[in-house]
Amino acid sequence: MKRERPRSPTPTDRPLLRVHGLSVHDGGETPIAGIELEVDVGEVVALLSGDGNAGGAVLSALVGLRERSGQVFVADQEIAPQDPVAAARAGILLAPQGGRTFPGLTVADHLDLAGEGRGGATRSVLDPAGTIEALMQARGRQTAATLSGGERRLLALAMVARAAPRVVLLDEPTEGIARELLRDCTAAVRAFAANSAVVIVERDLDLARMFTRRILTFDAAGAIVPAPDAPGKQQRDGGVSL
Amino acid sequence: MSSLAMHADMAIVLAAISLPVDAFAVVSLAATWVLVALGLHLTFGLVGIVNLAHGSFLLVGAYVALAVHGAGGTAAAAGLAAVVVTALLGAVMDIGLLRRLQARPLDTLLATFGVGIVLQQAVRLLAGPNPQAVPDPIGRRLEFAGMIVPGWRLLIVLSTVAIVVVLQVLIMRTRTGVRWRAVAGAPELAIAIGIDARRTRTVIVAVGSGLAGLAGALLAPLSSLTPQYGTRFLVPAFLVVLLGRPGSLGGLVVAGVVLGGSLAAAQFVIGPVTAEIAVIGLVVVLLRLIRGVPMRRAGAANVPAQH
Repeated sequence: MKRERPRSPTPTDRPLLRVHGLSVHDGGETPIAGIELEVDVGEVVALLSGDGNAGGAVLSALVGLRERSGQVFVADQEIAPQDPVAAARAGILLAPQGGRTFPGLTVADHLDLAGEGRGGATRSVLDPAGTIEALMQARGRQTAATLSGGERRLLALAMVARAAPRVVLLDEPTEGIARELLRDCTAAVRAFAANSAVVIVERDLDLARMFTRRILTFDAAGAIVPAPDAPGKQQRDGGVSL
Repeated sequence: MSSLAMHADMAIVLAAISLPVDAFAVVSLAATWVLVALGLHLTFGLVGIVNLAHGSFLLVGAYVALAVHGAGGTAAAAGLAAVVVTALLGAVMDIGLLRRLQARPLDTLLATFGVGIVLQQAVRLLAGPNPQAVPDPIGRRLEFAGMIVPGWRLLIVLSTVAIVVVLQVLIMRTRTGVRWRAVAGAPELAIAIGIDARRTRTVIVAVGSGLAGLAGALLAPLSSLTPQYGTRFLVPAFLVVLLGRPGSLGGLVVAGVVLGGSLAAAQFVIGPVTAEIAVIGLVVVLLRLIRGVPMRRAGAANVPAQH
């Protein structure tokens, strides 16, 4: 089951994504405070979404779409709070909940835009089976509004892939996705993990288990801890288990 | 674009039926209505801002044209200067005010109203309250199939067509247009993939304002200018935008041609005042007719009907 984790290329050898003392303001009914999190290249961490999708709030705070305090580092570069454009350019990308797309734009437009946002990055993290790319090639000229819900979710993932992310944040990527597309979804996440640090927010343990064994949840104080039923701590150095 | 040609044809047919109608006057007014609405349509459709300063941007454009003519500049220089000045003013308005009022539509509305008043008073201070005239840069008129076609009015019609074509290509066919539609359709998502949505918004507001300025410069030679000049265009522009539905340039052209065209045609038959009342009535009726059709923003443009 276990595979060798690709070594982080950073000279300091510290994890790619480091979150220190993160608190999210206006995060809904669940408090979100004092979050410590480290995710390295090749790792997939699942965060259970919690009440009122506190997990999603953490993800949007990480990319600067929501007010936060605390520090976020990507490869030792500190990401300024509330500057989503800078965050995206630093390579920390969020696929928002519900597979959001631009309704009037074609699939090809989506992928072009996503590549452009990173300052003309061309490296594309492809899904190993090629299912997403194939789908996107076939549907290139259709507008996102004509895709099925599941296809739209794959498009959202393909967009993130095209942006050549270093840190990938996925907010409930499986929500509403058809069973036959589920495997594409997990394959895409595995492909992301080859070159990036991945944080997934999922609603329940079973869904989270499809992606990783390192599963975290919120405690009463709003910090994140290993989920009770998941061997979170031991998995820290174990790498990806998909 | 084909709809524009179609309606221009319709206007000519209409003119041929009711003899006293001057067909070119119909075409000319139709183009004018489209022209004055373009900038307003762009900012409303893509950024969701109802720009009540739109009339004042037209005013500024017209007075910049006046100043350039006064300094001996050509008509092209006047148009260019009007675009640059109003586009810059639009960018300043967005960066200084509208950007800070995002997600507060009523405050935005009020702010643009305030900007409109400030611009109007600035024009009054700089140029004085007395009527002034921009000379007709062409001056010649063509006679064509029994119609009298003033050269400058023909230029306005052709310019309007050209602007519409350029805008349509820009929005639907270029990378810039894709970015604009992305920001209009889902701003948060655009930001999430690294598009600078705030800068994009400013550019769109600047282009919308620049279009108003260009319209002002083009229309300036047709009548005398006073600091109240911009107000007369506000109602036509809003009627066209309202009827044309945001996000659809084709809809805007059809609305402008139908309203402007019918006003011009009706003026010959029932007189100018009654014609204006009739056009307002026409807007009410048409809005009722298309009420079942959902409004959509530009980001959702060209979505097939089943959605």
